[in-house]
Amino acid sequence: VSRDETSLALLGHAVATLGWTNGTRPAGVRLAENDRHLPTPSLAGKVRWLSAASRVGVAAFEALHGSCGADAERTGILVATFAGPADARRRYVEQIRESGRVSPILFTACGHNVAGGLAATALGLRGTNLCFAGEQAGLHALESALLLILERQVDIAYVGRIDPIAAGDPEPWFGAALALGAGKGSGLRLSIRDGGAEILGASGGELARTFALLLGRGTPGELLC
Amino acid sequence: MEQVAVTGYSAASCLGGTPDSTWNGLAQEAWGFSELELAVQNRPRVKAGLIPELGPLESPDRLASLGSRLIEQLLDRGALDRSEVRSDRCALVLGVSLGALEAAEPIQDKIRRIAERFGFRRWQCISSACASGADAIGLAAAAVGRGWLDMALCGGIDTVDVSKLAGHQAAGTLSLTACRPFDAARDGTVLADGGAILVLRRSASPGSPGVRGYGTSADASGLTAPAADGRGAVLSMSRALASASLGLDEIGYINAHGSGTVLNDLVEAMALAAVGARGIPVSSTKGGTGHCLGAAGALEAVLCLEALERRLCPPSVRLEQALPEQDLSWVRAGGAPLLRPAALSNSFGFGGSCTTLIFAGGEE
Repeated sequence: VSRDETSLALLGHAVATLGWTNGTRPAGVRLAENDRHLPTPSLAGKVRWLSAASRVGVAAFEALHGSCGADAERTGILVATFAGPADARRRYVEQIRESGRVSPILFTACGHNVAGGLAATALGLRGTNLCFAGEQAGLHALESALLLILERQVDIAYVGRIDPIAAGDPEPWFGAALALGAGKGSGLRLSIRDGGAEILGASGGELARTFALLLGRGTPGELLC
Repeated sequence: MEQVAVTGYSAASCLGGTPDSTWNGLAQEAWGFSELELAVQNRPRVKAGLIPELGPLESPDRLASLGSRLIEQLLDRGALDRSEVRSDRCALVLGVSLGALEAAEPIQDKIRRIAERFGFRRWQCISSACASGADAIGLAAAAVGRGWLDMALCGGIDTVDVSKLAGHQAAGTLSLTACRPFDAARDGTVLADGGAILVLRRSASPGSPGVRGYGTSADASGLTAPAADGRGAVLSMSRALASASLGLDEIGYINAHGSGTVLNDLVEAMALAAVGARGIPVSSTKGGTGHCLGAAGALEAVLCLEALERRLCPPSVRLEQALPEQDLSWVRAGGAPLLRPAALSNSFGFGGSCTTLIFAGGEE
């Protein structure tokens, strides 16, 4: 594989948190706090309840899109996660076990691709909506973004990770997202190789934190303090 | 994309435990569904397609058991050697939708267990709802085609359980009688166990059937309903055709997503007409196999490969009076001859994930 084929322009990055009260608010982090309201008016009428994963995911992708808005039809979303919408899944199954009640609203929030789908809906993005699960999911999402750009399925890929920051009741969550494209961008590039990824060129603290969160390098709680 | 050879495949459905038996069940319009009473509020009765060998519905191991059986089937058929999967140049790429929802464990844990059991060093879990299996195939094919991998085992697995059946029943997507895709009287889908795994390799003999194109899009219309204008479906089909460097006039068969729900089938038929599919044989096989959720696209990939080999388009089981809105060439009982050696397969999912695969080749 040639070096050219592994390298993408890094067009922007964003982080959002939900329910994270430890330490000071890190610079550049968008808060997705209010649990009673949808994070964006564009989802009004389309969804009645959002899991924590969807809330923080939509907030992260909205912040990313705001900083590097792109051709909506050619921009795709790829989400990596270990836990998926764990709060929705837990509540849905517990409610059935405890009362026999079945909530279609909770049920339709249980899919791993829901956060990406709602972000695509909120932003009108029609490139793709893919989700990868597992410890290596961040790398798998980056590799797939590279594949989709090389295969000309999309021009720009928003690649994010959405997971709990730490255990808790309720759990605090984070969403971390990078925008990648085939062009030269701001000069920063991301090299994605078999089994690893690295930023080529100088990268500041905020970008390094987003990258570490996406790839699961380090503890989210420590990275966000 | 470069065509990637499919050198073997396995499948299991409520119609049978192999690709052959599934195909024959479709051809005979066999009935593979049972009626279940769900132990939830109001105790609804629903239909579901079960694979009896996976054990009782409550067993948390049905999903992993299905995946392992499909790989064992490939080994038994000589489609791969046990030592090949341990290479760094081979990956297991599986799609699953909600996974074992009641097991309270991450969805990827079942895939990890399957990978560990057979010694895979590389594995991926893709979850894009009912497009998961198709996305696993498309991404694996792109990686093999670019030489990132020498070989991939890819596809999808999914099993029904009480929580999924109850959730779909409450969401109003299930039929109480039968899944009748594209029928004017359709009233919902029927969920079913199912799965399929394809062996993809970079090199194969000329004329081998293979994955020729992959297209993906987001519907961007919300959680469950497709975009009313069918734009997501149009985009995924157009991208797959561009990826395959084929025109629709070179496609011999379309395996529609055709879930049997009122809205999906209407919008998909509209999208098929919009891309110019009139005159091409179209069917949905879910009337026979049921809707295998995250595995549907993989099972339907195998049916497309069978169609290419047999030169026969499988029927749209239980289609009596086709929906009148679009004039498409529905394949009815007995099937229809496949006249051009390429097949297109659609898979759409909750969350707006739309995926189209194109398969080509086969024996002349």
